[in-house]
Amino acid sequence: MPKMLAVQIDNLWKKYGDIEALKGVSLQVRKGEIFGLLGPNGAGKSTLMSCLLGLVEPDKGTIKLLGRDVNDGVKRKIGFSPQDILLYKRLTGRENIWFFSTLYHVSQKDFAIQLQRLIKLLDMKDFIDRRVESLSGGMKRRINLAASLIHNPELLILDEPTVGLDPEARREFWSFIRLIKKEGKTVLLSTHYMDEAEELCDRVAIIDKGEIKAVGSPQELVERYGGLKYLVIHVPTIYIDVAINKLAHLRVKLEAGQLVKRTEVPEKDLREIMKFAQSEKIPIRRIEIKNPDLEDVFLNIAGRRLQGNE
Amino acid sequence: MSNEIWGILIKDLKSFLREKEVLFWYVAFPLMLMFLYSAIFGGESSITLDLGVVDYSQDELSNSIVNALNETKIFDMAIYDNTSAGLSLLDERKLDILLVIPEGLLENITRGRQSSLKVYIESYNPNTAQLSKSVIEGFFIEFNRNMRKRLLDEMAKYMPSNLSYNGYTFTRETLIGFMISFSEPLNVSSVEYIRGGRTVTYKEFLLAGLFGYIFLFSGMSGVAFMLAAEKVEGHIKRIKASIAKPINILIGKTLAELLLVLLNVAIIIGTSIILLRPAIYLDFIVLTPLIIIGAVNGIAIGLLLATLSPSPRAAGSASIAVATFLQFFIGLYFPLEIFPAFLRGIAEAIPFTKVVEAIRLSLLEGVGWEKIYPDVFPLIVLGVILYSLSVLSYRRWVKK
Repeated sequence: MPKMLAVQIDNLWKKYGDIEALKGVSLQVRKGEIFGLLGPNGAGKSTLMSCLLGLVEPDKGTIKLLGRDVNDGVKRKIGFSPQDILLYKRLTGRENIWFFSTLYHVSQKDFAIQLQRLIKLLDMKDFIDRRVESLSGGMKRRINLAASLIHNPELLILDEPTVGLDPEARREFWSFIRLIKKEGKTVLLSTHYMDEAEELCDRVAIIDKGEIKAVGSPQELVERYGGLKYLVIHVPTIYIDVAINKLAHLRVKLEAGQLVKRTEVPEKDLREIMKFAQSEKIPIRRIEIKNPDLEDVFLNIAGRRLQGNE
Repeated sequence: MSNEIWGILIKDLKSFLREKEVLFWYVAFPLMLMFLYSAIFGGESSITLDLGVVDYSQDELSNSIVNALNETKIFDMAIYDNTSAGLSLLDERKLDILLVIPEGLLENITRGRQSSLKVYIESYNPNTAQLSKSVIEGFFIEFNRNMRKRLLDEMAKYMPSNLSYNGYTFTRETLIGFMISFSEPLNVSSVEYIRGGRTVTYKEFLLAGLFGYIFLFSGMSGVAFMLAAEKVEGHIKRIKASIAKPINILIGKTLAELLLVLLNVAIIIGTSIILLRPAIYLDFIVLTPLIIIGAVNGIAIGLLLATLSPSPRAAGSASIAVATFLQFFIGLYFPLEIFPAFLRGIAEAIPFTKVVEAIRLSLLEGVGWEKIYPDVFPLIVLGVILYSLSVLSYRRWVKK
């Protein structure tokens, strides 16, 4: 195994009864990167994470974490933050983090040093000594994250870390993840949010129905699988049916409730649509030229939309 | 102490002590139970039975019966003119007992004829009927005895002081003695033997029983619920992902539960002493190991229930069901002597019964460890076996 790999998974299979949760998954995560597992619910992300953490025994295949087998004392170097906020609500943030530090045999001295660092890093000073039951979702997520970092792991595994957070709290959380990366740690996270994968991750693996469909940086994936640029034509809702009929010959289609024209020459097609719409008296509000994103990548690979599967 | 054992111990204790609702059920509820049971079964308030009397005789003797009944304070008495009036009230369950005194009671007695009094007992509720029957029969046994003595005393006035027959001479007293022994061959008198020189009130009896309640509901159900909650909330998964050893987690939980049981007992005893002022011996050298033995057995059963149940909900229900069942069988509220023979056999076979009995002996009579130990030893062995089984079951459960 090359030294620069934090995670190496080879041909991993896992079956629950008749359901094949993982079908020959192979994956490599480099040290120091933020790696995203992007897929809809039920794609196999949680099973894969459970295998990584040694919670589930795979039927077949191998996993190496930081060059070692998961049961070979490597757990000490791994931090895990589950999808649900698993904190004890009657305890304060500090008490919760202390409890998790005991599970990793962190000494009192190291705990004190590490906690001070995390309070600063995750900006928890104002609420660290409040009971968890009184904290907001974003605060709880930060405590949860700190609990998984208290033993100073090299590899951090985050299962759907921003589920349930509002957009502002999510963006704030992403900034914390970037800070953790800056400290030289590797972050492996699962998500079903396209924007999270796109904005936060250095590399992304698209997973669907237990299989890795594609791996690469968000840009690479978009270039390779995203398809053509497209125009989104905004008309009042009442005119959508009229517009789709009148603009059909220009290959304008209805995609997810929007009038869309995929094109290699967006400027030229934009002018043509404007001209025709004017002559047919279709009240166009505006036309956007859009680049394909990971949503399009997933659509092109899996044949359906990512967000529609939530 | 290993790091994670300490962590689990502190975490569980803090979580518990900050949960006001749980504190109520663990501490206030047993005390409420004690006050409630004491009020109902403590014997400090006397029972009262509704008695109707129909007196067709209306003479000196019937009046003395009515007066004597009244003086017992057991009966709430009312006089009716005729039997049918009394029976209709009995039928409406407004009376527990109806006594009908026939005509000419005194006349019959003075002429040496027996009189028959009729007693009707309302029997809708067999327990009340049994009580009514015992009370009224007990009254007449005593009344008859007094009357017999009075009649014999009366007779003696007309007897010669010496009576000769076949060359033998009998004194009046000898003859009276013979007559008494004919009518009442055995004279049974009961003497209250009080072990330790004092009687035990029901509150004191119940206080010892509450230890058993704590083993069942705090120790057994408590650990079953706590473990089930850890699983249902997903904490076990996170703990399993760490380097902590499952066995250490179990030890930490056991110690936390053990401390909670000790704390619970301390609060119950402390509050009882302040509020009830019971006369008890507090020999902590004897009591502490007994509490630990009882608690470990309870915790071990709770762990088995939690780990063998298919779901946390099932674990919770099972622990409550077992605790509810056991509380009536281990002598918490009532002495085992009142149980039917076959149930008593079952009760005595339940390990908790022995520890509750031992605690009662220590607490109420100040009995030392050397006398208690032989009875409790099987429970120590059982505790070791149960806890070992629970460890195996827990390891399998965590792996699963």
